[in-house]
Amino acid sequence: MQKKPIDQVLKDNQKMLLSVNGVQGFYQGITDDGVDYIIVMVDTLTKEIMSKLPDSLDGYPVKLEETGEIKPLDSGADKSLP
Amino acid sequence: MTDIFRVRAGKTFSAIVLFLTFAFLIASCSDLVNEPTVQQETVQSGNILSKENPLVRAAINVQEKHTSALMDIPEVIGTAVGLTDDGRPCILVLTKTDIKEAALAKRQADPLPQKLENIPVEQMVTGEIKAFKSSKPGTDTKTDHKSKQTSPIQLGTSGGWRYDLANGYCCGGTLGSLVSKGGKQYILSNYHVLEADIVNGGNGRVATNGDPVVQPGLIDVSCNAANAQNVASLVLNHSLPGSNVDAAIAEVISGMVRTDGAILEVGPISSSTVAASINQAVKKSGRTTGLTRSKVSGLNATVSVAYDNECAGGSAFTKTFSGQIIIANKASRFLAGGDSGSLMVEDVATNPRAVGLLFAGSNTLAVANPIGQVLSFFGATMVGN
Repeated sequence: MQKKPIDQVLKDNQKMLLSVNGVQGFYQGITDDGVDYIIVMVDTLTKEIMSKLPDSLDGYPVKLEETGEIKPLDSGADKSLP
Repeated sequence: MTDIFRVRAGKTFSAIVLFLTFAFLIASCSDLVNEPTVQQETVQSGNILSKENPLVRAAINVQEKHTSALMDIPEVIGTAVGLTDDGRPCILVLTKTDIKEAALAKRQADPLPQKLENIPVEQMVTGEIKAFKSSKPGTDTKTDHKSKQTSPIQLGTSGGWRYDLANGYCCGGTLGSLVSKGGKQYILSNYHVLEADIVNGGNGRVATNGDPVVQPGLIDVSCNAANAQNVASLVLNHSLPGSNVDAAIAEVISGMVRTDGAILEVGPISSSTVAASINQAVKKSGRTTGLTRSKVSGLNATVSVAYDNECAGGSAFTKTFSGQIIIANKASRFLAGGDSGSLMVEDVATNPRAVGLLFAGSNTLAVANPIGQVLSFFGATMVGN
């Protein structure tokens, strides 16, 4: 059976992946050998989060990446400092 | 053997001379090898706390030989030479996170060797190591992205909303690039840099059409807008939370911005754009880290980002973006706080094509809106050749 396109797999699993506490998001990567895989970005890699996420989705391997919190990258300065 | 146990009981952390790749640390390798060796006894009985000690020297030689390969392991940020608890020289591998435990939990092979050329290897989780170098505008020889420029200004520079001062803080980002719409030119940056003040809150105002956009941003003029110059006028488009881009534009005040859209250290760009592809080489010019380069590491990203309702304010909303571009950002070397609004372009020498609008990230990755979506949102085109 032919695999579903990876972008469809990402779309189909968005709700499930984002429902796991600590998941920041996910994206499509390609290995050096040209194989598509799914990277799930997590704030902190814990045993609990690992146990809640699958090893693969519709035949695509799932890799976890500890990213920390993903934030808007503006900058702030304390007014009282010189 | 007696000596070894005594040293362990005492946890000898003192007076260890370490040869470090990145940082000075005082540490002890933990127990790795149970069998004592001749080396151990020699180390314990002699004065070993010097780089000149032959056993320490030997460990340093092995460390130097293998550091490059060790640094290729994800999360590894440095190496050092230290001593085991029982006094033997060992190689410390400094990591941002506990990669041994993570591998164990995933039932994967230990990412680190137990020994290298008979020298014990131990992980030391340090977190991210940052350089605490202070910086003042105009004090280094590199291109200055933070100081007030003589008009017409180049982009890739510090900027922001003139009134971005609330709750004891001022905020800002990068005025990234120039776009054109209906025969007029506009500075392109992020919604959260120019438009994000949506509550009266700490400063008694919200971002409004026609508000001045200044260069440099308040963060680079000690929060005093009098020391910045008005370069454009805000045109509210409210890209967030409704759309899939974090983008804002401000109409250029005549004569204040170079009409060719030149970006500091990049120069003029192409008016064409290009879609991102994995491993594509990219660069950007931004307020905090200046000109930096990296590679696209992922596509089709879905990512949730939390936004504040004003500078140092409360939570406004969390937006889940889809179809985003992920860029490698190890130790925030590509993109850091204050670089929001930078345009990401292909890494070619002349007239690079725009790839994305950078807006978020962490110390491992950066996130960009695909430039095509940004331009479609405004009905605009890039200004360039």
